[in-house]
Amino acid sequence: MKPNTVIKTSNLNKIFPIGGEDFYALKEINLEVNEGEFTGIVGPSGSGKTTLLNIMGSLDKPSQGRISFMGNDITNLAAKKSAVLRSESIGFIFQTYNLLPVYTAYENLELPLILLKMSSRDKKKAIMESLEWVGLTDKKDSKPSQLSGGQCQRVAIARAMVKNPKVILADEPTANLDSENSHIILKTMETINRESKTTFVFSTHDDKVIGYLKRKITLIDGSIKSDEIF
Amino acid sequence: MITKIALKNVLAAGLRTWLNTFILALTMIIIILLQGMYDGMMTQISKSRISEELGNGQYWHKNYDPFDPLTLQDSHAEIPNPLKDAVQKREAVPVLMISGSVYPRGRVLPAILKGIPANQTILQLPFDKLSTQSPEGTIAAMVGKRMARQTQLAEGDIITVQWRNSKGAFNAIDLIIVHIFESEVPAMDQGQIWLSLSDLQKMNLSPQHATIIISAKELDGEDLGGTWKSKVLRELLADTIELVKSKKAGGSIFYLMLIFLSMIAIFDTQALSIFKRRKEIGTLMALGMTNRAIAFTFTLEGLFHGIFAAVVTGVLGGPIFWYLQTYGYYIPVSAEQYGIPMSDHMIPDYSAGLIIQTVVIILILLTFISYLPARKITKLQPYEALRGKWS
Repeated sequence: MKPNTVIKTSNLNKIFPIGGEDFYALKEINLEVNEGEFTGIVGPSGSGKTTLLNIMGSLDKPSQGRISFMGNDITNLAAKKSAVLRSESIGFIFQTYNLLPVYTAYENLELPLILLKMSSRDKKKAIMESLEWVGLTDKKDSKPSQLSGGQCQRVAIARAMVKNPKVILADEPTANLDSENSHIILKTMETINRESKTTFVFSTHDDKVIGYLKRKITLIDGSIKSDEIF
Repeated sequence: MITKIALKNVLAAGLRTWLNTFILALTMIIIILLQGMYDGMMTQISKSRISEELGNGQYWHKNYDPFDPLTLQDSHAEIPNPLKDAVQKREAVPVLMISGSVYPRGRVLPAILKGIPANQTILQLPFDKLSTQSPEGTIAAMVGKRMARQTQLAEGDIITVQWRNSKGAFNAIDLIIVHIFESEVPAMDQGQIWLSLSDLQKMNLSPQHATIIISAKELDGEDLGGTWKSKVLRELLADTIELVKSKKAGGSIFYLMLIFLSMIAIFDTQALSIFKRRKEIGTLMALGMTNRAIAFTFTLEGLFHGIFAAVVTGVLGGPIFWYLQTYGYYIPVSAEQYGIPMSDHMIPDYSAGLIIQTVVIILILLTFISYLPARKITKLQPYEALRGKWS
């Protein structure tokens, strides 16, 4: 049975006006990301990886072409609907973790659930489950300043996971981590992907990450140069 | 949810929050202190003048001008018939005024001689002392403390007074000072000598005459014939109202400056906070918060400074307001030179309405000022915020 398409782009271009000229950050991107994939968009710096990830996550809009999410066209989605989409269906993991510094690990995970207006009981259950996934239940009352880099990123993964999103978009998730922590993070995400069938899309140029990928989309100068499935 | 987020962020800011809170609280306290002082001044002066000078309204002889003593000669007439009954029942008090000169300790001073019934009950001054028996050849008189100070008179002193009666003849007599009274109203004291009405009417050869008639009841504004003009209380207090208004206006400039400075502090704090937390704003957008909700959160953070300040105002300012409203301010004697009819203690008026109004106005301004830098967030793109861009 053909898996469901989570994200689909058609002739997608992203143009930035620079110095009076049009700069194509993305050129004619046509791809489909299916449910349960563990996919990476790889390429050198400036190849357009983050730009593509932002458009996939409805954080940015394409200049030309179309993009759909779970079969719904999100090309020109209004800001409010875009926020709802991200709130309900998309999780993000950032290079610099982007945890809110004044909140504990528990509260950082609580925030996306508050936006979904979940009940207190359901929230607590979901948060503790997520923290268990990443092995940090004992750190639930710690603030980011009290956690190591690896722990912060694991909390960020838990935050992305806590609302059971359709897809998790991870932008250079291991860039600020050492080798050991990078592998811990990647193994955690791989386990989540395998057991919960959550789709993962990475933007990376880290070989450690590439080694875990099931599908590698290579982006060079804004165009897809290759699309390999392992 | 937004309230919880905003509150947490404000509390996490630590010293910055408490400094802003302190500045705002100080602004609120100073404004309330000043406003309460002026409100109290207005109340106290009005009360004093009503109880010691104006009653609830007056009828003036058509020629009477309180600012021109030269009009006194021709500004008296027989008490009108419609008021005779009220005078009899002590619901109205006639006062006769004539110009004269007094000779205390060999000096000569102009004075206004005022005659008032000793048994009157409308004005809260001890004019009943005028019914004291005086030695032969003298007439009982009273002066206020200010007049006594000016003329160096004491109780029991005898002074000569000269006047011109209604027939144009000059005459003189000795007055014995039977009482020196205290009044908060300089207009009842300075440059005046009080005698019993019947004595002054005899001296002036104008029986049943008065210059003004003070009413215990509020007037309807209707004049009595062509001779007596009605002066309602509001008209009589107009100069007091204008005086306090002008002082309030001066005070307003001061606290407008205070409000301006404290709003600048809040604006700066907000702008810096938003700039410093660009990435956090991007993260909140990525998590699914709308731009408007984020802008509202930051606005609320600014407003929380004001709410904390209101609490501090209540805690710190409350006892101060209570103390001053109970014991008052001491007014130096020099304040009399400004013609302010007040006692040596002024009781300010810190009503709940004043406090609430001040706090609410500042909170409204604060909300607006907090929103100004935050409104930029509504235009921000998530990917720009995540990059820390702020165009």
